[in-house]
Amino acid sequence: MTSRHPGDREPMCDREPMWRRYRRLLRPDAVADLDDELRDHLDSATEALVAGGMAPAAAQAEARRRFGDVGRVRSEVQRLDARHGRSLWRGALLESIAQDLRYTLRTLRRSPGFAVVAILSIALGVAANGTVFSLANALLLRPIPGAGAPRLVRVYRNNHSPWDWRTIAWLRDHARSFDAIVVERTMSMVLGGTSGVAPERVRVGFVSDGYFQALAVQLALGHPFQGAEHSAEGSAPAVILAHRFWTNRFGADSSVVGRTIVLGGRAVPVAGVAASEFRSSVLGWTHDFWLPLGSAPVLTGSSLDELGGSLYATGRLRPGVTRQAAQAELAVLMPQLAATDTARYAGMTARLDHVRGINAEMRTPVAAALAFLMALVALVLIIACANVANLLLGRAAARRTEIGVRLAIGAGRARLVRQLLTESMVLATVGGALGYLASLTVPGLLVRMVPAEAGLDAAFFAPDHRVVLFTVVLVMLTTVAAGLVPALRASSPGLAPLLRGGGSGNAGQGRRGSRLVAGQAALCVLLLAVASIFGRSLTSMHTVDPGFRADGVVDVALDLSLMDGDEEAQRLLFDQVVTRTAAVPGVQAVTLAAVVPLSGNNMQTEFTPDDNAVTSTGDGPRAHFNIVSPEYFETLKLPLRSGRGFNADDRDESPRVAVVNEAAARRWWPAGDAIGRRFRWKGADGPEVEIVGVAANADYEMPGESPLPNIYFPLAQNFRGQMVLQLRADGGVAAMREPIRAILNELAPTLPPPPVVAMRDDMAITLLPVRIGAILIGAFGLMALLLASAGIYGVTSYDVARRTREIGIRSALGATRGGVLRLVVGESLRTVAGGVAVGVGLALLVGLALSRVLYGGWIRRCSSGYRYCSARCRWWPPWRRPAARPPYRR
Amino acid sequence: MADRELDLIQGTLNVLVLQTLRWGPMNGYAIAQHVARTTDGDIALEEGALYPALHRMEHRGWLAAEWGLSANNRRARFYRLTPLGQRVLRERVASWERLVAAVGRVLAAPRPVTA
Repeated sequence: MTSRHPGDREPMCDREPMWRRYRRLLRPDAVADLDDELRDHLDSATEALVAGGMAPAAAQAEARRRFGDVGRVRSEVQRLDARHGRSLWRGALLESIAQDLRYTLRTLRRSPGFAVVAILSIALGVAANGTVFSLANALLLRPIPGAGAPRLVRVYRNNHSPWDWRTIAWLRDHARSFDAIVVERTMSMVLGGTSGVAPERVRVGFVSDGYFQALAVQLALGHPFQGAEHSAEGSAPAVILAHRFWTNRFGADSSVVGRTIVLGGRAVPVAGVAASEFRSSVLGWTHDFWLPLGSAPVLTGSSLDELGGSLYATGRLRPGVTRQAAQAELAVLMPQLAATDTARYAGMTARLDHVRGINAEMRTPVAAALAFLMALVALVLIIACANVANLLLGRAAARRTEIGVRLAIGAGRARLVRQLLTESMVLATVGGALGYLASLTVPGLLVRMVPAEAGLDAAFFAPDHRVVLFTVVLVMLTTVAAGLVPALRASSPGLAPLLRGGGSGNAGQGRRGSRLVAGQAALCVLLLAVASIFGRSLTSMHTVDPGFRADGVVDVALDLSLMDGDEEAQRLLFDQVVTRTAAVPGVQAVTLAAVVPLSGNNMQTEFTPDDNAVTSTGDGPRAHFNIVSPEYFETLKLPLRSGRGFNADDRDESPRVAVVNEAAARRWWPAGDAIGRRFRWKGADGPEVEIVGVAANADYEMPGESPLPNIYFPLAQNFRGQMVLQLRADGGVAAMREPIRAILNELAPTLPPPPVVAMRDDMAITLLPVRIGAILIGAFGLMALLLASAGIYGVTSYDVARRTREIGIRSALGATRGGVLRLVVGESLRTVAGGVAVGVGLALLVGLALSRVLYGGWIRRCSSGYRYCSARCRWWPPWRRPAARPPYRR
Repeated sequence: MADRELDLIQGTLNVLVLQTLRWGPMNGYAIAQHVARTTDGDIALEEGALYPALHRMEHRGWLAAEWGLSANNRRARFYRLTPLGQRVLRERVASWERLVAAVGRVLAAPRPVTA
């Protein structure tokens, strides 16, 4: 067994290299030690054999033979030693970490006030960040919840527009890259209305056939829409209930399938119930139930074509087909489609996108808003970290003697830093956990703060692994941000003299502390200013001119198809209702409208302009439209720019007229001669309509959108039984509900009492993001103020405590109480004033930058003044204490 | 099976080493020499096998080692018994003696009476 292993080092024969001897001076060398030990054995054995009379070479061989395989022994012992060393190291590390933890917990228990303030600061910061991140997660990162299908893509018309039915149906039939393409649109409808059941607003999704199968949405009950319930225009209605609706309305009754709900005066059978986590194929739509698209004309009285233009398409790629390949196929198909109808399709394209988060059209503004919120809450966290850092600095100063002693008796600086960091880690972890728990409750609060009509539910913001990961990273960052500087400072070696001085307090410490206070004040002012700027611009978006005035307008959705009577009777009834309502005291104007702008309901139409019109490519002549009664423009305070509105002379038998908005006029009649022009509606053979007025632009789909072309038609010439009675009245909904119910009950006793709501509530769904943003920003601003106040208070009171002796001496030497107050308050104020000045400067800079992005010139509104006052108010307790303290007490 | 045997050998080797170190600190070579001399070569020990055993017992805290100089002024590692090692040795010796006595009784037993 003396064969040499090529890889093994020979411990005996070769001399040890010089460098290793020197290396051993620095630290123990296990390998060399082992070699020494084995060499000693072999040499001793050889010497003994030589002494016994053997020749040296033979003796060496014999010694090796007796020893056995040197290489194997050597590697085995090495392996054993290494294993032992690792476990030793691990044990020592764990032990010292446990020691640090025990020590930290002990010291924190001794100063619970500090611990609570620090932990709450961090909890606030983490909660704010966690909330915004889970919003970002839900709005930008998460795929459609509840849709299990792989390879889903969104299919947009042009850049990020929805489709009309004819076009997307053609694509679905021709594109080979997809297993399925399905569409969905959202509508608000009135449910119920028979046999005394109070009608209620519901939000429904109209979906094309194969919708649930394509998205792989699990059904809790029943079956998805099938064949006859579907496809063709005018198919029989059936509903699939949303899980929440099923729970709320039917008490999760499992025998619901086959029962009926009443919708548009029809009994509609329930086909199934969707799985609980599924909301819709489009994020933000929370539907109460789904209906086949084919049943929309029957239920809404609008043709598929009118309802079209708002169909959002989701495709499921065939296995193995990439999004790029499918996109390439669409690029080939679209020109083929255009060839079938150039006027309609020229220039139209199709674009594929992922299905994560909200739709592409909203992604940029939402991402920008979230980035802003993220920056805001980052500031909140920074302020919280500054608080904790300040408190740690204060404590470190108080513990200078202890730390000095530990350094003096040989504690390593790294070890001290680690121990001080352990403290901030414990604070950050506990605070982070609290903050995370708090951020879980925020969605519920938010949901309670927005109107139920918006259909928001807390599950929408449910955190997932990304949120948890984010929080963990946040906690680690907080540990370092809050703890590193204090730890390094506290353990810096220049402290030895303090051992002698017993902590007389040095000026540098105070200066650095006050610099932190000033920085904090600056940050706080900046954050509050930015928050108030943004909050103002959000509220101004809330109240931003949508082109009409929604405040004070009350909506009553009437559906005369729910009662008996022909069109004549319905016309008469509408006239009576309007007349009677207008006579109610406090009512200023009354109108009827087919759709309420910004309510999520809208109608679009194609038309054929006269030859003078400029037809642009891409969308064809297609516009939003509304059917209204004469008082519409007055009721909504929607100004007419030129021409006239409708009047009683625009009857069914008189020449057909329409009012277009400025955007439509500018688009198709840019020469400014829209009035008097004509177009055909409902196809090239449809009735010819003359434009008699141009109305101001208004927002129809989203507040603050770029103006969309819109056409208004008079109700008298385009009668429909489903209209919204809109009235402008003093006292709003509260004052109007009873009179209107009474009028309707008298005029149409068979009509079920309709919901009476404020127009603003009808618009809630489109104002939702603004509302949430305003709520969050307000909350974060408040948090920042709270944190900064606590921080400034803490540091100032620490500073005062530190100078107790100095103040005592001053008092002993004859300083009056007032003089001491002036001294302390004056210094504090100077510090904060410096910080506030810097903060105001920063805020002005940021405000200037923001003013390019946001509405209005509100820079003068950044009201840092009163916040400065509130910062001052925090002062009084700490400076009163030492001034009242007898000078001889240390 | 082979592992069991190895354990037995290992255990025996440990007892031999511990017992040898009762007489004072020694380096590996001296331990091997002592075992070989006292057993008159009846236990054929491959000297190399001693070292894994020594290091393992050191990790377990039975032995302590320190560096010194051997007779010829070489760096040599000397092992000595720790109090824990002494306790282990006493236990091992006791159980060894019980084993020997039991085996001895079996070997000395008369022919069993069959019914």
